[in-house]
Formats: sequence, structure tokens, C-alpha cells
Amino acid sequence: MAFRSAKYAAKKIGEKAGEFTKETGERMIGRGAEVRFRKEVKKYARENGVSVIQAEKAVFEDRVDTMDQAILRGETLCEKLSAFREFQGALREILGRDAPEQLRKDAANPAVCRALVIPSPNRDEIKESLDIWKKEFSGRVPNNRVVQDTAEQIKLMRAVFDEVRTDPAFVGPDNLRDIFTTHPELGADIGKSLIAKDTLEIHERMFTRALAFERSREVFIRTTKDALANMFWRAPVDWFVASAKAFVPFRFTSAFKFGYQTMRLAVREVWSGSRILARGLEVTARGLNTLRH
Amino acid sequence: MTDILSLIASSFLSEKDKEALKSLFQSREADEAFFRTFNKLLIDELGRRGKEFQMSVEAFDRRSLEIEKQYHIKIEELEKELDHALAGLTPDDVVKKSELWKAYYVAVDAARTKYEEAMRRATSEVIKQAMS
Repeated sequence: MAFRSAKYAAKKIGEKAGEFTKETGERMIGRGAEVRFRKEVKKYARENGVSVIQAEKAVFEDRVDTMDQAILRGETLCEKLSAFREFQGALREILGRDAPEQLRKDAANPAVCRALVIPSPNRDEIKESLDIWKKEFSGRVPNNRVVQDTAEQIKLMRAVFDEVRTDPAFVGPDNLRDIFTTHPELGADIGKSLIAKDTLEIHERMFTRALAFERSREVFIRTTKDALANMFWRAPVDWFVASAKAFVPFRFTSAFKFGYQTMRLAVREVWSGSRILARGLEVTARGLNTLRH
Repeated sequence: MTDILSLIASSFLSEKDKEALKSLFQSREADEAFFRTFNKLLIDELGRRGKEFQMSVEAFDRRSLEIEKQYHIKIEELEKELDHALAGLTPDDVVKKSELWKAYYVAVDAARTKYEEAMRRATSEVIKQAMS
């Protein structure tokens, strides 16, 4: 009897260890969201006394709600939005590894998808979209068409999430696999929400890149003018420094005065204020000051 | 004496002017006339550099403004095309919109690359010209 119990316990430990190793491996290859979904499903089933199938649906709906709340909080633009990662993980766990990709394809397939009636965003919704951009990019915003599109994509995602909660085809049955098999149009709708999020990520990436481009343009122009200032003014500046150090600058009063005036004019040409010109002005001004004493 | 000779040697004057100054110094030592000449040559050279610098900066500004203009024309063109294509779509046309946005961004990236290349070319030409 004792031997049988020990054998059973050892078997259970072995199973647990195997499961742990498998889950660790899955996490390492970027399937953490699937592991978390699976664990939550088990926990939900255990705590609520329901079947795994029923628990899957409940946890999936929870993933949808979390995603919707993240959108309501204005977190739509966070490229690595964890709610979206968890949502996609749930889809993969229920429908298979390639499910998100397949749903995106279904969304583009007229034989599967259906038209959703989504009105254009109103002024308040566009203002919300603008605020999301401002919040994410410290007050900087992209052009109006991107802001408008952001509002449209958010509206579409929320419409799809509402549908998951209210469509009788979704609400009625428990088995998510059956729901998506018998109603592929529901999967296609979810595919549309995935594409909407993809588009928002593209907008975000491209706006980040646009800002970097603006910065690099300014830097490029400034660097070129600095290079020109260096070419023309480094030698005179170095010479003024040397003459002030090694010799009496009063011998070169007129050269110092002229140098000061010329460099002041040159500074006006280079709006960014080149370092070499700033140094030149400082050196000649100091030299002129010495002459006055 | 060494100080003056080294100041002549390290100066930003042309080799011809340096030679002239050296011979003047050797024949007259460092008298008032020598320093007048030295100052004059320095002023002439500063004036020349000032003018050339201004011309180079103006040339660069002209070129970069032209490149900027071309870039903005291209971007406006792409935006018009995008607006035209998006005009007939509803928020539900998410697939078509996604394709249009992707194509637009690819074209914008290409315009930026073209801009950067043109700016690099303009810079190297202006610098080359300034050096000649």
C-alpha cells in the first residue's frame, strides 16, 4: 500500500517536473502568453468547478475585456502592449500556433469575412485619439490623417470586442473551437481587430522614425555648417590663440579687431553657432580686452 | 625673433605671403612697418576667408533649400495619393487601409533616403568647392 502511494507520488512529481520543463521551454521561445493562458484556465476551472472548455471561454473573454480596458485607458499606441500580447497568446493556445495569422488572412477573404457597420469617428473620438498621441509622444502629434485613422482603428477594435461579448453565436456555446469553426466570420472579425492593431503599430513606428528624421535633418545641416566654419576659421582662431600666448597681441591690434568683426559676421551666417566660431569670438574678444588694459 | 618667425610659419597666410614676410623680417627686423605689413596681410586673408565662408554657406543653403523643396513636393504628392485612395473607404475596410498605409510609408521612407543622399552629395560638393 505504502509502496503504491510512493509510486503514485513519484509519478505525479515526474509529471509536474515534465510540465514545468515544457512550460519553461515555451516561455523561452516566446510562448509565455500561451503558458499564462493555460495556467489561468486550469486555475479558473479548479476554483469555479467548471470544465476546461468553459474556463477557456471565460478567460478568453477576460483577455478581450483587458484589451478593451487598455484601449479605454488610452494605451492603444504602446507598441508592446501586454494586453495585446496576452490576447494573441490566448488565440494561439485555443486555435493553434498560426491562429492570429490565419485570422488576419480570413479578414481579407471576402468568402469568410462580413461587413461591419462602423460609423466614422465623431469629434470627441478624434480628440481622444489626438490625446493618445500627445501622451505617448510628449505633446508631439502626427498629421491629421494619422490621427483620424487611429480613431477609426480604435473604433473598429472596440466594435469587434463588443461583438465578442454580445453576438449570440459567441455568447451561446461554450467551446471556442466550435464557435470559430461554425462561424468563421467571427474569427475574421477578430482578424480585423488584429490588423487594426498592426496598423496602429506601424503608425507608431513610422512617427518615431519621422521624429528621428527631423532631428537628423537639423543635426546634418548644423554639422555641415560646423565643418565649413572649421575649414575657414580653425587656422585663424588657432593663430590668434598662439599669438596671444606667445607674443604681444598689441602688435596685431588691427588684425584682432578685424578678426573679431569678421567672425561676428560669420557667426550670423551659421545660425546654429559653430563651436570654432564661438571660440574664435571668445579668443579675439579676450585679445582685444588685453589691448585695452 | 624665433617667436616672430614661428608666428609667421604657423599663421593662416598663404605660403607666398609667409615667404614675403620672412624676407621682410630678415631685412628690416620687427619694426613698425613690418607689423603694419603683417597686420595688413592678416586682415586681407581674414577678409578673403570671410567672403569665401559666406559664399560656401550661401551655396549650401541654396542647395539644401532646393532639396528640402523637392522632398516636400514628393511628400505632398504621396499624401494626396493616400487621401484620394482612403477617401472611398470606411473604417471597416481595415485590410485595404492597412495595405495603403504600408505602401505610403514605404514611399515616404524612399523619399527620405533620397533626401539624405542628395544632402550628402550637396555637402561634399560644397566642401570640395571650398577646399579648391
